[in-house]
Amino acid sequence: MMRIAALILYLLMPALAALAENRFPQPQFESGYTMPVTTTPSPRAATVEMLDILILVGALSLAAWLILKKRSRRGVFLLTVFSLLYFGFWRKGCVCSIGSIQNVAAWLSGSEAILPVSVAAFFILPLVFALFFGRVFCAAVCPLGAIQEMMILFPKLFPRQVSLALGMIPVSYLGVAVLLAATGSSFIICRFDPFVPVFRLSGEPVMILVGVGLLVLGIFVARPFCRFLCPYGVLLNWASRLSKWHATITPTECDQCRLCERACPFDAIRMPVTCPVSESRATGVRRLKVLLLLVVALGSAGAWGGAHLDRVLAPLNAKVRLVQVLGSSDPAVEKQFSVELEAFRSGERNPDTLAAEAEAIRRQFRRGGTCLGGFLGLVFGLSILSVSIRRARDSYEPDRGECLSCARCYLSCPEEHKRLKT
Amino acid sequence: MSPENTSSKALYRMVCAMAVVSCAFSLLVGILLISNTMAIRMASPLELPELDHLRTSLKASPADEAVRNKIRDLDQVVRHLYFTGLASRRTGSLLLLAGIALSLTSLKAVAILRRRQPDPREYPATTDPLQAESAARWAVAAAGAVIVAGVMIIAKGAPPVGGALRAATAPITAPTQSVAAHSAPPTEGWSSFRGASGSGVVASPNFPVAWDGATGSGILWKAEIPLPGLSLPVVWGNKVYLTGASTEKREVYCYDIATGTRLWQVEARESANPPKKAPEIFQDTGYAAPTSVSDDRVVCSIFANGDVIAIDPCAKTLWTLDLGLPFNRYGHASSLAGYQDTIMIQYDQDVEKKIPSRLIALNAITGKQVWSTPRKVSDSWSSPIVVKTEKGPQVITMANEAIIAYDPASGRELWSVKCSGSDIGPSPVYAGGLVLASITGDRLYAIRPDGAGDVAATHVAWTSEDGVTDVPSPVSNGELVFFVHSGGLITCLELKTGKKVWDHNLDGEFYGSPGLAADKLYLVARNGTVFILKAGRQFEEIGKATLGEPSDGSPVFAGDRILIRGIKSLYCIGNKAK
Amino acid sequence: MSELQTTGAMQSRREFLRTLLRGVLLAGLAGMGARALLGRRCQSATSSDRVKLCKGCPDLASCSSAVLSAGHKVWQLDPAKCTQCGRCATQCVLQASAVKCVHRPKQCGYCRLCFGFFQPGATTLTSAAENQICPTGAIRRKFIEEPYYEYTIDESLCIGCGRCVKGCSAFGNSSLVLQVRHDRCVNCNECSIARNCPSDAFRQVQATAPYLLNPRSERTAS
Repeated sequence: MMRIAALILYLLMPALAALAENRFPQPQFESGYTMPVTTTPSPRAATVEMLDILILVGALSLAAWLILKKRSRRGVFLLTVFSLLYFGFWRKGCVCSIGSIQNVAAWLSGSEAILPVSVAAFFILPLVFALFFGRVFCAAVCPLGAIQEMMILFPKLFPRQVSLALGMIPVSYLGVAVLLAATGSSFIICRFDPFVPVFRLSGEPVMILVGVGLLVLGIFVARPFCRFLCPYGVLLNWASRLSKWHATITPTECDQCRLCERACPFDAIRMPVTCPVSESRATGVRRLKVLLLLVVALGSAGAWGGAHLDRVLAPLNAKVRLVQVLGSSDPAVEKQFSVELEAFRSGERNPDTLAAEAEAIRRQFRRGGTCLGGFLGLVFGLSILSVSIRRARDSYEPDRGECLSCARCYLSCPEEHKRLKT
Repeated sequence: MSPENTSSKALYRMVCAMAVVSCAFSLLVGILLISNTMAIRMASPLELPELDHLRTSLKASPADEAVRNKIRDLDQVVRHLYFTGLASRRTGSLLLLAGIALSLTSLKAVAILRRRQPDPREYPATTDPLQAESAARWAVAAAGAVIVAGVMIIAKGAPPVGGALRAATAPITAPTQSVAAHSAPPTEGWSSFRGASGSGVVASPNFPVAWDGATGSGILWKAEIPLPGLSLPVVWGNKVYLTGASTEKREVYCYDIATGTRLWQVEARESANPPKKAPEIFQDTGYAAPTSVSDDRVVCSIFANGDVIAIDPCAKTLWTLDLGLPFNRYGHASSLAGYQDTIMIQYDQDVEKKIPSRLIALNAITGKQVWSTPRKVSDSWSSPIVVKTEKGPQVITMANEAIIAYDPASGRELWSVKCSGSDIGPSPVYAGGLVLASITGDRLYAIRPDGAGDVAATHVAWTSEDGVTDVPSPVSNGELVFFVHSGGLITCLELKTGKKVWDHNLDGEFYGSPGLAADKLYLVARNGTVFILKAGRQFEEIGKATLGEPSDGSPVFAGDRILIRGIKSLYCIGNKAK
Repeated sequence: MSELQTTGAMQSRREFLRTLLRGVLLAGLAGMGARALLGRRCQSATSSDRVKLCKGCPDLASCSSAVLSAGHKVWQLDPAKCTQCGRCATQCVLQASAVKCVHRPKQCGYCRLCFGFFQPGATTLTSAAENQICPTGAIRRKFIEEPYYEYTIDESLCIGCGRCVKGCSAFGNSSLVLQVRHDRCVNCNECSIARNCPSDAFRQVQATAPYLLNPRSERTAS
């Protein structure tokens, strides 16, 4: 029977089916040619990452010791240079603590993202140190801070209100970055990191220009990124407020000589509060009540408004955007996303599944946006509240939250000079 | 401002000069770097339309030496510019860094030399704390207002996300809705081998009788199938499922019935460790002979190596199961059958291998075994069917040794008829209250399915030696039953009595089973010719169409379309939309 | 509160609250660290590509270093998903890109007419500029024996545009694929190419197995 013949044929050519995958068969060389082997250069070993953690711990401890115990601005400066060279130019500023926020957010959101130990350490350690010693990380370890530190040449001070207002940017940035990372959309902190391209001497031209611009600005405005952009600084600020120990301007007692009043380029020195209050206690209490209500109102308004943020934020997710593009009949959009559309058409992704996934992401954005809006409303409300609470202060003190522990103010204090002499 | 004594004045001047020089140097290097970056960008070997133009003109006139040389020159210039540009940029960056370091040092020196002792007497008197507080509050509020305003401006420009999502899915589902409107792919039960009923019969008469795959006339779409296989397409809603396999790769495909777009493909990955070797099979059978079953929740498929996979309509693999390598001399070809929440697998084995044949029922959603009944029969190509008889649902199986019916809920054997066939290819059909089994090498049996135990003596309505087939399964319209032999002989018998009505020799070889749509019989010959006959008491050819490629498939009717699997492609044949 | 509060009671209460909050935060951070450390190990036990590494030991201390380093991930391109859009050449933070074309001689047909080397419709099969598909001339073609030619990639010239890969996978054996070369990659936290990849072909893989060159693993990748 024909079937038997086919069976024999099949048994005779078992190799044919196996090779069906290759369009052209593997050659049989007769000239003694040996095939080269594909090289696979390996990435940085994991042990080197562990070394980074050790250096981080070492640098943080050294910074805490130099700032709190040794009180040496010179030492802090040298450590800053080391951090700039090692974490900045040698390790190319990646992974840094600032970016690690996003890894943590993505990890906590329960997606498949895993948290490498080195990233976890870069996130946790500076915060732990801040809880004990203040922002010693900002002072001398962070490479992004270090490169700006070098640029502080002719710092200008400006009204406190301006820095207060600008100081609200980082917390908003933090909120948006966390939301985008938790939804698996984008790591905007890394994407818009202005200094990493400088460390790498390579990167997106626009970001290099922004980085250079910030550095030039930093000649007159001390550490603009740290104070008015850095989202990790927000966390360190909060942790530092709770710090067990913190840098003090004077090593002994403040005799209110006012010599340190303008020593801080970051405007983090607070004056003693002595001047008598010209309003009655009742007025003050009433205002406090109003402000407390305002906190609640802002929080709920923020939550309500944040629920509508998906409109702005969801298209930052590639999947949501792709679905939008697929649904758009605008030729300009099609032209702009022609590569994406072509890849989608040649790929094997199911449009139904994609739409469902995009819809799920959009819902995530709705939920996350509600949290984000509520959080930001609360933060704004609480900020307004906190600037309205007076606390007794009988000496010049660094603001625990805003002080970067750079140790500059030490030498402006006559008591410090006395201490150094003895 | 400047220092008093002359020596420090000189130092100050020197430092200032150094600062100016180093800043100028850095600026110069910076500008050079920027222009260099632009140059690399311009000279990027990726973005050079001139080269493409030149290449096109060379193709038009291959003998043009001038164009040839132009290309060579331009190519060299571009590459030289690009790579020297990259190298000089590196040097430039390092130079710039050095320049900046120098500028910073000298500027720092300037700053130090200009530094004065702070004089608190110049500082303004402390402001009223109440005023300062109020200003601070307004500052924070203003920042908040600016942020909110910014977000609102962006939001105004952004398209509404939810609406866009709906719009995006619309063009994908719209055509399928129009298909659903005038067709009736199954909406309940299971879609399996030879269509929803497993009989290859549909009532709708609106199918074309002429098309030509070579010219594309009458073909709605044609879609490439990556891997070969004999399995038939199964249709559920707007999705067509199909399997394909080679010795080492097994895949399930999903096509859009409206457009033929391959919506997804899922590889059934081997779960066994170490991997099983591909079973030794009869080559014509291939590794993806069994047809899948599907409903709205799941499509289940089995491959020649005993791997079963269940996938949901969105390409998510629900479960996989390894039944173990089958000892099937022909290669496992038995299609799956579905009943309520279970799928059934006729997993027959070569008797000489001492591994019992089984009929296995699995939960379609979880993959858990519901029941498994051993069978004392040997391997074949035949597939089980699930039929609704007057006495309830039955699973009907055929093998060389016996025709056996089971209860699909429990796996209990209901009745059986002994026979003595060999190399059975066809599957049973159920029509007009009779189970028709074409036992290759024996004869045709027509059995009433209401008996119990061995019903050979009591419930066999008739037997016939005319029309016994070897590969294709029969098809019946309730009055007549048609048998096609692989050699081309088509026999028509009367269903009630088994009397021969007519026979005719068609010029073709047939592996696929015939399909019956109202009064039209569709027969797919192995060379791709499709014979369309009248399903009547006389032989009458009403049409002949060609697929354009060889095919071992059977016609699958879905709505107003016919799906036929060729060797390489899936064809969707239908009347063009009016 | 608008009165200046300087009483000792107030001070100590504030101090107590601070200590309490600090303790809570420290505990939280410690918990997070522990979860990161332990969670990674659990994952190494469940994820299939690491099953071989995990010996299922009861505690972290006795876990082999191979598993410990399993949390270390690097970016890689999955050739099975790649559509050769050309963005690898332009989107990398490095210039030239860390993505290079990699040749797998074991897949290669050593064809005389290589679709990864020659322009479509090239009239003569010589390595003249007008015939080559590679914009930088990074592919070397060498005669071995009739009718076979060997192709090698000069990575210092390759810019990762993937034009050769497109040709080879469309008409050839797919022996050319794009891969992130880890001697060049700086392993950004978020890979700039991954963000811009239209085919979702980039993912983070174990640093212990940093390449997706095995045709089998490609197929099982999705």
